Amino acid sequence: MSSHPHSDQGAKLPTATVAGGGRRPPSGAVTRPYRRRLSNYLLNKRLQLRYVGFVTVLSAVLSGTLGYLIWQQEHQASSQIMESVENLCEGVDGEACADLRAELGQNLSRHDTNLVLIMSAVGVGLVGVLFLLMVIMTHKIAGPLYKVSKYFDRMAKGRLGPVYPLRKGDMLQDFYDKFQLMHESVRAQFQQDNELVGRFLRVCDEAGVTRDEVGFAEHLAALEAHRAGREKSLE
Amino acid sequence: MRAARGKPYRRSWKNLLLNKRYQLGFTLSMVGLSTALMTFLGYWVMHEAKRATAVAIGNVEGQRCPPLPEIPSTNQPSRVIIDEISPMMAPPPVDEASAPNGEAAVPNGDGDGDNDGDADAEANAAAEGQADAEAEPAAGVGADVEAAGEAGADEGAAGDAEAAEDGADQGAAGDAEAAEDGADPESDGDSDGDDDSAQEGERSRPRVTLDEGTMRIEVPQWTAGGADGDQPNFVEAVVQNYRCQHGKIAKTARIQAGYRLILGVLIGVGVFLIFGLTFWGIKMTHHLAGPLYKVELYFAKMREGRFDEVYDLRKGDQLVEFYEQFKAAHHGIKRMQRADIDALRTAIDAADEQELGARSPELAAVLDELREALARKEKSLE
Repeated sequence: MSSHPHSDQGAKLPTATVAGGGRRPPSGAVTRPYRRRLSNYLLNKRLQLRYVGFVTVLSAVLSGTLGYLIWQQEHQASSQIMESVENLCEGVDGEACADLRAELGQNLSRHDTNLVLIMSAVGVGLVGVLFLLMVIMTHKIAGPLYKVSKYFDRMAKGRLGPVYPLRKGDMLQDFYDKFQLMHESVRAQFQQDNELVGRFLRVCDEAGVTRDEVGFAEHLAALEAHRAGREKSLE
Repeated sequence: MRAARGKPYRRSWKNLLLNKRYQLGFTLSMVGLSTALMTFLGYWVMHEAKRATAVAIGNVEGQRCPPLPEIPSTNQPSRVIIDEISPMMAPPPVDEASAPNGEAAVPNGDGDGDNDGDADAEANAAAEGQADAEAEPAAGVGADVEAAGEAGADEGAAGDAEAAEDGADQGAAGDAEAAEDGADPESDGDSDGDDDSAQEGERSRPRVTLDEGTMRIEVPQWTAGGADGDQPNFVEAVVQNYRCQHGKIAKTARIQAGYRLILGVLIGVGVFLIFGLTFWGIKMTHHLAGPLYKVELYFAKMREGRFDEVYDLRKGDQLVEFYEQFKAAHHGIKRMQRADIDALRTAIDAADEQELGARSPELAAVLDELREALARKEKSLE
């Protein structure tokens, strides 16, 4: 049995469809410690993107609204400056005034454009950071669910191997604890019953009930096979 | 978990927080994260808004307005010109020889050589500490008597006791001046010879009329362009100035309103983020917590060895695929139970046929345990 939390099913574990629709990779190397991979952060795309998308779109809308308002205020300030210059140059047809107007207009336009660019960069940066952080947060939910779903798949196939604890920082710890308790309880019950069958077989043997006994040997062989299969499924 | 038959299941607000640790943990993390980022954005936005507002207001305040026209000063405290005086107030002619205390009463000409006005020059330095040269027209409109305070003070400064001695002389001098200026009512003794200025001053100064027992002062009123058209642009200039100032105030108010709008939106966004996102987070996580809660209840049953039927999720719940996987796992466990049941039943039936229990007490005890296990397993599937 591997000591690795995620590789307890060995190389025989078939790939299975996960909640997010992707293909579950077979268990990794036995001795290599588990490391989160960037590509695995979206374990359950449908679930995670629902949250991430909502929060990201909301933040983008709010950032855009604030950005528009600040641009409006900045544009108003620029207009006031231009108006001041227009008043100053009122009735003056000199070249200096025309140059001043042109230069100032250009500078203010550039400043406004720069502000829009900076605001866009900050907005995109914030939304991007929020997106990544939300992916990480939802991953902490999707991770335990993914792990539990793996155990469900094994249970569906009649395999009740040991369950390993969650990674540090994962959410849904309570849920996972309850699953672990259930799994261990069911597994212990099957183990207990299997031991009872084994004891019955041993007592039969000790009592001189041979397997060659007419009419019973066949049943004992089937029971022995069942016990062996069950024992294997509990490994 | 299962809704009562015939009565559709309805979500209750009380059950929104099914898994407090998960739901509140996730929601508060999400809200805190969003709030932190929006606080940073808000700080930057307000910084920019404050700067832009200050620039805009500074520009508005720096704009030139048409200047207000100068209002001619009517405040001439050191000069009072009596325009009219009742003849009854005219003092009786005083003989020069009888003038006591240095007061000289000298017949004064009014400019036309008539001796119809007297001018008294009075120096009363002993009483007031200053010498006032006062020339009063005895009678007749237009004859100004000027009380030149400053001049009097200057003269008074020169002599206190001397003024008493020389009072008659000074009075005589004053009479001489008055006699010279008597013909010109406008002349106040220090005329600069500027006719326009003199006319302006005449128009702007209040007119003083002394009556028998009263003094009347008529202050000139400014109107929109005088009848003679002397001030045609006064009101227009004032209105222009007012409009300009009002426009500046309106612009400033508009800019400040923009700033307040940004602040308001920012506060609104903050409140919306905190409350809206909290509510949304709890509601959305409830869609996750609901199926998990349901699965947890089945976990509890399975822990107790009960593998009864698993029902479907409610409409709108998430984690449908996860739940389907759980159902498959549950079905797998039930299948294992059934396999155990079949194997045990077969073995027990065969042992009973062979009467194995009679062969040894130990074998009988184990067979009893197998029967109990079989019964327990069969019951678990009910």
